[in-house]
Amino acid sequence: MTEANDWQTWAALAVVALTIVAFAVRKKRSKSKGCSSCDKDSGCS
Amino acid sequence: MEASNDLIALAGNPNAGKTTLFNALTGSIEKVGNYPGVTVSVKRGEMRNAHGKALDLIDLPGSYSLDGGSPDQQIARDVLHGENAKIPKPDLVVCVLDASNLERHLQIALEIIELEIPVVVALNMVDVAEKAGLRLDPVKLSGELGVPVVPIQADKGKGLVELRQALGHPFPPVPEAAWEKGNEASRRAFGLQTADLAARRPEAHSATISDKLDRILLHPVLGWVCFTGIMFALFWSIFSFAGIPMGWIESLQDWATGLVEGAMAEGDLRDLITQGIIGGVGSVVIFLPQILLLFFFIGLMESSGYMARAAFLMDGFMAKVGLSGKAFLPLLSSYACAIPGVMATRTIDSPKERLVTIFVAPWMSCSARLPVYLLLVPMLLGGSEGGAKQALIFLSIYVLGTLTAFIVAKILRGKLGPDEVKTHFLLELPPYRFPQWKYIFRHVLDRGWAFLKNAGTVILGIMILLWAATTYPKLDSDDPAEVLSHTIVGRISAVIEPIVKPMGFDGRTGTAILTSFAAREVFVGSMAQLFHVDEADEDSETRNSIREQLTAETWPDGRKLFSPAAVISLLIFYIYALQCLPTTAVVARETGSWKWGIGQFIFMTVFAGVASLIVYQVAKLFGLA
Repeated sequence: MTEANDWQTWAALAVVALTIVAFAVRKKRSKSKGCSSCDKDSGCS
Repeated sequence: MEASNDLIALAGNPNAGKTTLFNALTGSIEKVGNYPGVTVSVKRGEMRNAHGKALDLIDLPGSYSLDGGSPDQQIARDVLHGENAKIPKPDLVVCVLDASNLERHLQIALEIIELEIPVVVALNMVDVAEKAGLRLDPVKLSGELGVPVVPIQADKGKGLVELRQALGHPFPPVPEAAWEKGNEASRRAFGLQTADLAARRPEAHSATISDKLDRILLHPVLGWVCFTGIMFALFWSIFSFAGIPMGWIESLQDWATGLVEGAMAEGDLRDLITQGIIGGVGSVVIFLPQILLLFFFIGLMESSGYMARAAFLMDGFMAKVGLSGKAFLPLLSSYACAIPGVMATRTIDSPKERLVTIFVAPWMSCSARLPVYLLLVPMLLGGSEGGAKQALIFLSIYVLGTLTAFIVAKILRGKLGPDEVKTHFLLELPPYRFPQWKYIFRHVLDRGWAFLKNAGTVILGIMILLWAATTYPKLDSDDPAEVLSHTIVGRISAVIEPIVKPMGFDGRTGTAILTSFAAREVFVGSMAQLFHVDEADEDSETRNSIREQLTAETWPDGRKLFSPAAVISLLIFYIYALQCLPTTAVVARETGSWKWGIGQFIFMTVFAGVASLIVYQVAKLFGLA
C-alpha cells in the first residue's frame, strides 16, 4: 500500500465513522418526525 | 406564538377557501386544493390587521356542522368551544363562506354565531358566484346576521385590505341571534331565507362550464374513459418529459466523477467519493425530474377540482368493498405519500372505515417507489425510457396496488363488522377552477427540496456505510467476485441468498432490499453500488447506466440474473412492501395503537415476500426466468 492511498484509507474510515456517529445522534434526536418525502403540511411532524 | 396577540380562527365548510385565505394573510404556503378535506389539522401563522397590530391566526379543518363526528371536525369543534388543551378559545372567528353556495355554508356560520364569539364573515369566491349569475348583497347579509361581511377573492388577494380593517379593534360585538338558538330547524330556515335575500339566484339556470364538463367527466362510461386517459397521460409524461433534465443530471454526475478522478490519486477515499457518494446518491437524484412531474400533475388535479370528481366516480366501486367515496380522497393523496394520506383519513366519520383506509393506504404507490419503478420497468421492455408500453406497465403497477388495497379492505371490513351508526357519503363537487400555479409550483419545489434533502442526508449516509460494507474487510486478490465475497456485504449476501433465491434474487439484490427498509429510494443507489463492484476493473471510462449493468449480470450458470421473471418479482415486492418506518409511526399515532402500525408493517412485508415468491415461481413455469 502506498503512502498516498494509506492516508485515503484512514480518511475514508474517518468519514464512515462520522456517518455512524451522525446516524446515532439523529436516531437519539428523532421523535417520529415523519417522512422527509411527505408533505411538510401534513402535520406529521 | 406570543400570548399577548389576539387569536383569530378561520372556520367554515370544507373547500370554502380557508387555507387559501390563511396563506394570503400570513404569507404561508400551506397546501391548498379544490376539494373538501385538504386541511385536517390546525395550521398556525401570524398576520397583521390594517393598523399593523400582530394577530395570531389559526386555520381550522373544514366542518359542515359543529356536531360533526369525524376527527378533523372534532378538532374544529373543540377549538371553537375552547375545549382544546393546546389552543385557547379564539378571540374572533372569521367565517369563510363560499358565496356561490351560500345556503349550505351559512349553516356553520349561524352555529358559530351561537357560540357568542365575535364573528366576521369573509364572503369568498364572489367571482365564482357572480359568474354563476348570483346577485350578491353583502350589506343585506351583514344586516341579517348582525356581523360584518367582507366580500373577498382569496386566491387573487382581493378584499384582503377590507378584511384586515374588519379585524381592527374593537372587535365587532357578539350579535343577537335572529333565530332560535340550538334549534336546527329554525337555524336551517333562517339560513335558507337569508341566503335567498343575500344571493339572489337568476330566474333561469343555465349550464355552467363545470356542468358541461361534468356531463362528460362524471358520465358512467365516458367518465372512466377520461379517468384512465388522464392517468395514462400522467405516466406517459413522467417517462417522456423527464428525459432531458435526467440527461443533465447524468452529465453533471459524470463531470463530478471525472473531476475527482483527475484530482486524486487512486485510493479508498477517491472510491468512496466517486462510487459511494457521487455514484450512489447520484443514481437516486437522477429521478428528481420525475418526482417533480408527479407532484406537478397531482397538484393540477387537486387544484382544478378533478380530484373530487375522481372520488365521485369511485364511490360506487368503493361501496362494493365496504368503503365510501370519502375514503378515496385519502387513498388518492397516498399516491404522493402515505403519511398525508393516513392523516387525511381524519375526514372519515366511521372509525372502522377509517381504520381500514389507514391499513390499506400504503398500498397506493407513493412517490418514494417511483425511482425503483423507473429503474425496473424499462428493463422489462429492454428499451430506453419513454413510450406508451412503459406508460401502460406503469399504469398497471398503480392499478395493481390499488386493486389489492380494495380487496384487502373488503376482507378487513368484513372482519371488523358493520358500523354502530350508519354514515353517508356526501361530497361537494366544487366548480372547476384554474389551477393556483403559484401554490402548485411552490409545492413542487418544496417536495423537490425534501427529496434532495433526503438524498443529501439519509441516502448519503446509507451510501457511505454501504460503500464501506462493500469494501471492507479487504482481500488481496485480483478476482473481483472473491474480493466482494470477503467483504461485509459479501458475507451478508451469502446468508441472504438462500432466502431470497426462490424469489428470483441473488444475495446482492437481497442486500439492496434490506438497505431500502430505511427508505425505498435507497434501493436504486444500493443496486448501483453493489453491482458496480464487479465492474470496477472493467472499462471505467465507460460508465454504463445501472440498468445496463444489471441487464448484463448473470448467475454463475450463465442465466440472466435480471430475467423478466426476476424483474417482475422485484416490482411486485416493491408494490406491496411497507418500507417506510415514519408511516408506521404515523399509523400508530392515528390509530392510537402500535399494534396496528407494527401489524401493518409485518403483514405488508410478509405479503410482499409471498407475492413475489409466487409470481417468480409462476413466471418461471412460463419460461420467463
